[in-house]
Amino acid sequence: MSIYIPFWAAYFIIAFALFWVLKTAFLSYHLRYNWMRLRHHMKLDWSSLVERFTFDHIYHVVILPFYQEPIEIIEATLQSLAEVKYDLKNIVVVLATEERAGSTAQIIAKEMKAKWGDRFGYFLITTHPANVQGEMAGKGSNATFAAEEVRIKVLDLHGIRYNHTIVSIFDIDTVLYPDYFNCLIWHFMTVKRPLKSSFQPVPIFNNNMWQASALARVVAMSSTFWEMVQQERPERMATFSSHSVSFQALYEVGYWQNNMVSEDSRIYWNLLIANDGEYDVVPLSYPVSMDANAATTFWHTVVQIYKQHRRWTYGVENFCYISYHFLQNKNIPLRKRIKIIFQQAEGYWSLVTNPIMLFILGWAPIFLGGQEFHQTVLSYNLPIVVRNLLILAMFGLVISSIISLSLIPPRPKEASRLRYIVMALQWLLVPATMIIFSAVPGLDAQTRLMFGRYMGFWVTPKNRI
Amino acid sequence: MTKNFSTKMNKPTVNPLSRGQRRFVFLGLVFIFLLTVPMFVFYATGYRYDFFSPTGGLTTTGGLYISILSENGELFLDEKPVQDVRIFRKASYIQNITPGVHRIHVQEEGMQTWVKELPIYPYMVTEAEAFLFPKRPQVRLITEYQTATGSPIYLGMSSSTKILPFASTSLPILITKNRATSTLTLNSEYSFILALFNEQTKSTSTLLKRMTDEISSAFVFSNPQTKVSASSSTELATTTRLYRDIKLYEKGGEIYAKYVGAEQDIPYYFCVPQSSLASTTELYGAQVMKGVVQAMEESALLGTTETTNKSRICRSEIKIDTKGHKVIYFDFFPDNGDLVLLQLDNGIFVVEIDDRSWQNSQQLYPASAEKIIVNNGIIYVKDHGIYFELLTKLLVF
Repeated sequence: MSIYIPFWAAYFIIAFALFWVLKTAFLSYHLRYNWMRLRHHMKLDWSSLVERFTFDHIYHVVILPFYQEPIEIIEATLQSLAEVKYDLKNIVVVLATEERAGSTAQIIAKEMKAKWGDRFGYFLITTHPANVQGEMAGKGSNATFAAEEVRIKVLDLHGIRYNHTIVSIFDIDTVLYPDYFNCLIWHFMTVKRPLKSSFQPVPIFNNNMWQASALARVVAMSSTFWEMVQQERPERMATFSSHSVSFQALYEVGYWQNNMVSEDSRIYWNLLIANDGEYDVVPLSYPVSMDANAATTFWHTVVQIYKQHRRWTYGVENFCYISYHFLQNKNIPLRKRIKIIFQQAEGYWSLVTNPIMLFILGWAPIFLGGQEFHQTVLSYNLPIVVRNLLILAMFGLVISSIISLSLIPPRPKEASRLRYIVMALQWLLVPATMIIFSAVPGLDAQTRLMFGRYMGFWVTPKNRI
Repeated sequence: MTKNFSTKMNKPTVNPLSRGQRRFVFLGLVFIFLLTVPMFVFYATGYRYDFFSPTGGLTTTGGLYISILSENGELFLDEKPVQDVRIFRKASYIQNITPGVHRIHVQEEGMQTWVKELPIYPYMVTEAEAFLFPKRPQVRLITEYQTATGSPIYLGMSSSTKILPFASTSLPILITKNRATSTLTLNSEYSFILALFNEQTKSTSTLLKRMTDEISSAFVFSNPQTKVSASSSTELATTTRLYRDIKLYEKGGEIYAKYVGAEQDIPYYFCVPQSSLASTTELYGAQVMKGVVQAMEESALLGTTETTNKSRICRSEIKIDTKGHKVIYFDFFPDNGDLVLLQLDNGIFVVEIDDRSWQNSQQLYPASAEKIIVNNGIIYVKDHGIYFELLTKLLVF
């Protein structure tokens, strides 16, 4: 376009930059609103809110898949779990280990059970066997194995009904806030169809916020913000990372899919398709804390973030899957099917193309437009107009900066107060991180999928540095 | 938005954003988008709304992009200063200029002024390059010996002797009657320069004698009679020079710049818009019109359309204005394909190839030297046996 019709390319770029400004404003509106709601939910006394319900019969199965993470990470997770304002006797903890992780993982699991086992209603250690035919080693296959184990060894054994059981699958670094289960129960008891709903908390990647680099913090908080935006438009949500769902619903679809990478979102699509479109994601607007993806060195952090985002953006594999099943399942309303397909296509397209279009290809007409274009006012004004619009869009980052400062844990004594300034200014990295950790890994993942170079599950290393 | 944050309740008081609220905001932003996209496009294209015009309404504007080869050059448009328009360190872009011929000048204290009158067209950007060189020649003397601090030193002369009295030097010059060199250091650059000028290194005594002769006749720099006689025996040392697809060559005692590169990359000053072809003389001067007519005739003779590049007509050749003086040496100004370095019989000059309205010419050195050599982007001059580098920036002391 820039070569053959540079004037139209320039008009398009201006319109696109303006679209970006307004999209930023639109998303910032959602983000700001969810921030307000999140803070409200964190201040609420959920225990008193759920007093009017009878929920003694509801059991919580907490599945914690882990691989080779250090013991202190698991310890922190279990400690937060033990400190929730909820009857711990109604909580079944499943420490889901991997046989391929070796004996150290088993030793850790046993040590954790010895220490925390008597605090909960039940503490189960499962060991997902290695090299199972037809499975992809990863979180999905491990969690599915654990869910089936808990069904046989706990639910069926104790006569606990599946529709009275809520499964919460948490990444191993998930630290719970005290009212998580009360908040979950309140939503479970008040939603229209609790057995046909998944409950999505806001994953705040802030456990190691004071230890992680600026790059890791920006990328992590950007992911949090995206989930916060999605919380205000639940019709666009799919489950992501740590979430909760009724055991009944899970059992009906055979738990998480065990042969693919993005099991967290795939379970939602499977539930949606299996229930003929009558399935929701319910935003809890209540946080769970997780680790920002940070390694011991800057370069390793860059590599880890890249790989993690490539895995996340590999969620595009769901697009073909849901498109195929939407064609097959005519019971889902056509309007809903079209809307979801459009939203998914737009989402995956914009993820990988928009940052590149904005920050790189926007200059193409200037370099490729030829002399006739180059001597026009439009050619000279194009970078100025686009630059000014992008600066305007950057004001959205001011909101991000303020919100992020409100979500970080208390400052450790050894950390300087100047770090607050760095944390405020770190958002200037966003244009670069959008390209390096969104667009490029997204393109990488989509290209791999297109050429049949299917990805395996890459376990994000967890370090508390 | 005020919300009740009381915790004595059955449900959270801050409800999720309703679809209605979101739809309202979405449609509002769509409306803003549809309203502002044409505004931004028109603005970027050069349209402006003149609120104070008696006739009111939309006006069209053009722009000027000017590169200024001086960091402190002040830009004036129609005698009014233009500020804060630099988009790069050396380039300024002025927009919102009403179509028509405008006078642009760039000035800086201690520097010669660059002036040009150029037409501005609606929706189009007129390009130009301004250059400013010091009014007083700036030199760096290169002597055989230097002091320990690197200052040039002339030996065996009266301290009242003036070396290049019309120029400023980069370092203080030391002149002494003493001829002893034991405390001085030999300047290796001097040997290099001597070799460059194809001269053999002379013995110190000979050099000193020669320098004494030169210094004693230093006033000759301002004597035009001497200049003419000094240069009259010098022959044109250069025949052609090529730099970035522009060839400089001599024909019939005149210097021409010819573009020999790809048609689409031809420098802007070779071309005029086809739309204003009939007014070329009024807008750019007769010399440009002459070149355009010649280009069109050549194109017609050859049966080609090489001179036309859709919206403009381009010449391939521009004559460099020597103002009737004899050319002794010519070359491109170092690292610049738009400026020509000329050694004329009345001095050393830099002349722009851009002949729209006229060619700005600025004097670098007020006398025609014995010889100029451009080496590694540096202009070395030998004048009356004195070697120096000709500097193009104002020295700060």
